[in-house]
Amino acid sequence: MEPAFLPMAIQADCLRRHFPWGQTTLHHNSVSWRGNIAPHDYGRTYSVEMVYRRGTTPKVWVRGPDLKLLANERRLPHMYDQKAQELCLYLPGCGFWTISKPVASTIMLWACLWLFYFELWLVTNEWHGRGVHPPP
Amino acid sequence: MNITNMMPRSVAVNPLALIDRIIAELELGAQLYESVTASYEAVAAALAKIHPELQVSIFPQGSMRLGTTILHLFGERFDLDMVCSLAISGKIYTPEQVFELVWDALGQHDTYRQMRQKKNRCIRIEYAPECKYYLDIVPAVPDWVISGSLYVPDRERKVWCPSHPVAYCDKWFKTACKELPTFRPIMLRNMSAAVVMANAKTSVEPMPEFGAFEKTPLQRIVQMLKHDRNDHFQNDTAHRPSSILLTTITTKSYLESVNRPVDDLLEFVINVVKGLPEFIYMTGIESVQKYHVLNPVNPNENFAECWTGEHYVRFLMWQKRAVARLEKLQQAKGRGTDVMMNRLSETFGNNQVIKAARALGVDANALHDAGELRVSAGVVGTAGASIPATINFGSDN
Repeated sequence: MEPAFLPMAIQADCLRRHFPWGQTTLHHNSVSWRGNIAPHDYGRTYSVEMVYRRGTTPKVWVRGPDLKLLANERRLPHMYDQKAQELCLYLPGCGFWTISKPVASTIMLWACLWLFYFELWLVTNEWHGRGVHPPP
Repeated sequence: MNITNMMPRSVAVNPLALIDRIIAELELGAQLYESVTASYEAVAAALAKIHPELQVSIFPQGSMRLGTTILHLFGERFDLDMVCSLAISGKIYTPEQVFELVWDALGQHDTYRQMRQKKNRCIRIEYAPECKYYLDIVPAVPDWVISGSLYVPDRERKVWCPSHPVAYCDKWFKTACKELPTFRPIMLRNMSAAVVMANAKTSVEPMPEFGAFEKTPLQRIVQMLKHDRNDHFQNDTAHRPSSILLTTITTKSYLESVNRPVDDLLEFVINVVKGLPEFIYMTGIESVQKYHVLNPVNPNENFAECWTGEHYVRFLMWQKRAVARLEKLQQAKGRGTDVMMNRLSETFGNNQVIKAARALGVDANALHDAGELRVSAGVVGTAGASIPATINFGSDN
């Protein structure tokens, strides 16, 4: 059975409550958040954008800084798009995220965690979170 | 303790939390501690068998007693100091006689005969190479002036030297360890006043790095400074400040700093290191300057007895470098984990830092699995909203 769809207005409300320092924008069929995230005191500040349109899955991009540059041209781990810096935050089709869940308490938290693990990866060259890469 | 049942300590990403992890790898671990205890008890039993009338007792002093052991920079072994107390009078026996008495007694034992080695104030027992420590056995007799204090022989100077290892540690150092730094109230970044208030009512992790300290902050600071000293003076052991001197001035500076409010533990540590020179006193005129760092439990003992102006100058050079490195770490705030860790590598080397970073990653993942990894104001830690389980997926194709 398809889970119940969480209305966009509630999505926006959760984002405003849990990520109040960024810009939450609500449209009829979509919600977006744009703001800065630093995964810890010593971490960099990343400019992050999240867009969720009804009928698609939520997408998150790191708009700056250039991660490829930070990675010294290493191939970035867990990315849908190396150039656009779109993050792979969950394995689709396994119920980690569904349309009934607030993006503020799933996608957005995973984005923070992604940045946390990314900065560790810069040092250790290992992804310390749970992760799978699809076979090429 | 069963390691697999232990919850990770912290996922704090800051220089001191990492230093804590690094030092935990470089100190005498619980397993080795047990083995050391068995070793010195065996030495004590051997001596007691030969001289039952001397009421031999052996107990740790120095870093093992203080909990401030640190592995030698390139060596693979710990130097562990043991006091071998004998119930005889130093007024009747000369320092050399007492030293020889213990030396000869060890010589009557088949095992220790091959392993013993004479040093100025101690007899070193050198175990097989795979054993990660030496035991330095310091013969001692009761002090005939101050009760509870000891005299130890100095072979080169042929005198009894006062020593008060038990009171130094158990009364003075351990009491200082109980004192903790004072922090200014925390303001969380990225948060509106309302959010800060809301969070204040729930569980805001007050000092993430603080919880990461398995030992007291004072013990860790002493270990950190000893490690840095070993590094700085590796080719100049003649001017290297002794561990007991360093521990004494660090503890004094620590006690002076605990009541000065700070924003975080790193600021506190910087204050402590900046204050170190204030606890080395000077007397006399320039050409015949004397330096004083007195034993806080026995003012007859001066840990800087042998110091010259050159010792002092080189000490200041090291201390300035230590402050500069800590300030560089502080300035790494907000500039990236990799930047901060690269700066840490200057002191601890790349391998140790990567190892600590890896351990942090493993701990974060274990906390996440346990549902205890949280986000507060974008910061990943143990406070705020619990991060649901996830598996990061693929890369672009």
